[in-house]
Amino acid sequence: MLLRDLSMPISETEARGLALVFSPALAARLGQLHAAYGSTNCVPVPSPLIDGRLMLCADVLTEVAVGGLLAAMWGAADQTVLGAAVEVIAWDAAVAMMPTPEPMPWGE
Amino acid sequence: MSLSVIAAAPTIHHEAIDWATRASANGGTISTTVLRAVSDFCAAADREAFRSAIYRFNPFAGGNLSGALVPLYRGPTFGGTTFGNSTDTNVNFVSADFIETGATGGLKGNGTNKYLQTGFASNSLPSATSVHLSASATQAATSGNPVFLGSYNNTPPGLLVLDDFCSFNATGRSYRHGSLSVGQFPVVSSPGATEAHVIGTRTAAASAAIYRAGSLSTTNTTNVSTTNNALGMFVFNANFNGSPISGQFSAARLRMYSIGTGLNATQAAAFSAAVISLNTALGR
Repeated sequence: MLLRDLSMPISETEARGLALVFSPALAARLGQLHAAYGSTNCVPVPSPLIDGRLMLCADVLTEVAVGGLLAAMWGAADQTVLGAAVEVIAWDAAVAMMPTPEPMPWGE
Repeated sequence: MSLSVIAAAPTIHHEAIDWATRASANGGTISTTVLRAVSDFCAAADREAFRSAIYRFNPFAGGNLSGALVPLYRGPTFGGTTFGNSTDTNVNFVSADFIETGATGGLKGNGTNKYLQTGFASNSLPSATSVHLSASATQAATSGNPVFLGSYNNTPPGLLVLDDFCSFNATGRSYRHGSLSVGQFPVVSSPGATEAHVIGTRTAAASAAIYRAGSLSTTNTTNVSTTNNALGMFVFNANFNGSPISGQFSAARLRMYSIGTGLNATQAAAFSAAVISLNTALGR
């Protein structure tokens, strides 16, 4: 499923069960948009996946409506590009694709 | 209004007013109940003489997530030097992660990618032998290696962490201060999932302790050399050379955190009593 297939607004419960997966290039563009329109009250920082893509919990979508912490950033984004470029998968599936934590120097 | 009525009217502590002003400016909404509770905490901090030991304190209040990112204290004295970010930088939390009042009150981590950047570096403290970290939490961990707050630095070696749970060296809720491989690590075994208020503190070169709900829980007297570092501390993880540590995100619901200088038993008891009173006033 792609982001454009998702019904909005999305409920918190549904959003927490999903992850948004996208390319590093799109992540860079989203970072630019956040720098221009976001604030430190909500900084989406995607996590890397083993296939080179990045992911965020879809609960960030609960902040894109008017009055939300990411509303200005969302409003400035190209919705058509986002809708086609962001894949939506189950949260558990995305977490399973995160790299295994590197052993820490103290043996953890 | 008569003079006697004016005299009897409750006053709001100036640091609570200052916090409420900053929290409102950041988008928070401050209720009378919360303002009174924070004011009472500030009054206790002054009265019980632990205020100057607290360099940073966030009560996770303020009506919404934006308000909850505003620390009450940013330095050891009101009007003095401030340290760290003016607000905690929120990485990946959303509004629904924060509930101000009630039994489920606090800011809830997800154990995967959510944390706060305080910007407060441990080298803002005057000494590496007088340090404390504290937190109040529900839904704390009973396994793994999640961290409530802290920072690690490789060179020079510097480690300052209050663990949600630690599976290294000893198993349990731990306060770690030292180098990466050796340090003062008092540990509480089988800590359970609720911490009314846990303090990890070092008060001398060979004295570290954990206090829980104001009572001494455990100590460690290993004398280690360590260096406070320039890394801004993270909450719900630790800052390891500038980044959070994969696999060590806390999923706890935190009701406050603090960073400051070492606390003796009297100060720890008074501080915890004030934190617990604050949380009780907020129904959490």
